[in-house]
Amino acid sequence: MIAMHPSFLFFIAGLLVLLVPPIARKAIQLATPVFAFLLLQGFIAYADIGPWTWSFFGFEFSLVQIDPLALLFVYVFLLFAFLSNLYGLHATDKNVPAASNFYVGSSIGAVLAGDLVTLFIFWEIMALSSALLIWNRDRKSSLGALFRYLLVHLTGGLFFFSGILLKLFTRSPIGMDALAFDLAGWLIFISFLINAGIPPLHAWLPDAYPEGTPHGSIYLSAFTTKVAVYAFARGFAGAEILIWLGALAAVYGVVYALMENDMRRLLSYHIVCQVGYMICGIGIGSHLGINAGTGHAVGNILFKGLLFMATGALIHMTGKYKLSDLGGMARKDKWVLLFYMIGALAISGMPLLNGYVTKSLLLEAASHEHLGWLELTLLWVAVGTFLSIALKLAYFAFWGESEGPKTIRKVPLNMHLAMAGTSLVCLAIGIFPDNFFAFLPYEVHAQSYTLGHVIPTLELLVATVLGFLLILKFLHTKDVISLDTDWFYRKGAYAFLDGLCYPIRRLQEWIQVTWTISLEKTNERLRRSFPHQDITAVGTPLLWMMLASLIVGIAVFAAL
Amino acid sequence: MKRNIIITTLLATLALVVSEFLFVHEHAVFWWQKILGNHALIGLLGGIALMFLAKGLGQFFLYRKEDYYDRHAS
Repeated sequence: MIAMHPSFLFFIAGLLVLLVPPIARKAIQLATPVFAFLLLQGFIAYADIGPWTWSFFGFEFSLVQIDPLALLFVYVFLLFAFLSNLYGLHATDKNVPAASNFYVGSSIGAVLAGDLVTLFIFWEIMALSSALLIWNRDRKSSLGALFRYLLVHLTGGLFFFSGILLKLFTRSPIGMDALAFDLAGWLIFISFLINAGIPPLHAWLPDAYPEGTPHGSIYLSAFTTKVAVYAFARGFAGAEILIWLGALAAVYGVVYALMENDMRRLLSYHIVCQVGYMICGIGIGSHLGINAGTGHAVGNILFKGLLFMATGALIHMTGKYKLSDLGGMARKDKWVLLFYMIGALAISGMPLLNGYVTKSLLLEAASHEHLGWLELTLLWVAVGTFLSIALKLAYFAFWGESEGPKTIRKVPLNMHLAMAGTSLVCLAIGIFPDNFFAFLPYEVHAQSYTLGHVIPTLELLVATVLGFLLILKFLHTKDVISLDTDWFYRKGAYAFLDGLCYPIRRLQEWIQVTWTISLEKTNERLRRSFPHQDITAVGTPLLWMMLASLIVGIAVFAAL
Repeated sequence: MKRNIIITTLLATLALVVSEFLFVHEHAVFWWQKILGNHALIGLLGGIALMFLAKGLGQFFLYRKEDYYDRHAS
């Protein structure tokens, strides 16, 4: 068996799809994740003996580190890549297949990376390739979002790079495990926070993810934030600050999601919220906590991907992005409704679906560490999740007040199949949690389905429905957007520059005024000296000539 | 119609709280876990509170017209 890094297979595929005819492109899209999976098996077998190091300027770097934590993420990335490729199989566009192959490949490379430098290189390929996925011909605003996304991620990359340079110059180890909170550690920590989308560094996410094509946004929803979660699990497991940041992200995301009108922006805020859950688990740092955090990352890739697929299908059918433009879609395509509801119930933690399994793990981890406030907060956030995704979005898109669009495009079979496949995986993990637990980094002794777990969960969900019904008449969708921290670089930056330029502007005004006054004075003096001649016409050019000769004089002097 | 749905949901909630009383005998770790039907309370009150929190924040502070960022700063 050839031992090749699975990432490079995706890179090759990413180039090939640009060159080959459509039918071959489809074959490549379906085959690449499967072959990468096979390749990975050989790779695991040979990982110990292969020369998986590379050197640069005398430094030795390791390309690969394989352990259960990394493998968990690689497996779910491959599975999800296959399902998303299937979803977009009908598309004629080459941009998304090419960019997504690079994106998936670099995400896998980042997860398998053996040290920080290798991680950084794949991290940057991820940033560039994912930026291409934001570009959407149907949405004029996407290009601006793309540039803002790049701006934020390149800034994050600079933090990461500075941290690495500090480590290299001080000859500290550049391994990824258990990073300390020194200066280099903090720089790297901040760059991880940016990629994980933790408030207040999250605004790039709900700004950019809703802009892509229905197909492109599915990839976006899955990889960047989860690679960051993985990096946290490697480098900063057990850091208490992560519990606080995670809880903040969870509440922040869910409150913003409730205000949102654009479907995919609502879901994007739920990425912020769910990543908060994962970060909490990793901050707790016990084996149970890390299992919960990483397990929830896997679950989230699946059910959030499914939700993006279903809303993508609605966009494909109608060309509309906003809840206020939709309504009555339940009559148009029953399957999309079914798949959407599976994703929505999974993210809400409904028993028999995967969200329930991993959320229970996290609540148990919090309970074990006697973090009562955390457990209560996470339950509260779960209520908001159910409310905004399973009730609000579903109600306004599939039933709702408005009639909804008249003309509908049919959803192709491959989209239905991809959604069905993802739903089945969500169900399978939910029904057979023990088989899923075997993939988690540490051993799990958890009973997911006891009456003590199931009855309270159902109570929570049913009571939320009751609350929703009681206040439904106060809820309306509006054509508005909500301010978020991206205001600081979209509007605040103008004000800041304005303030910065104020002294310069005042100086310029002062020079102008003084110059004009001195011109007038000189004219006046000349006029007095030569009372019978019209001297104004001569005075001004004269002064300009004097100034010019002065500048030329200085320039010549400086040149000598 | 809507009235019926509300009544059904209310009955379902009550049934679940009763079954919690009958079948669940887990040791409470935190004070709020001692309240019967605490999850139902979190769901009902927490949900309504979240809705009003979000609406309030939006109405009074955060909502802007959709072209807000397209208009240039003056």
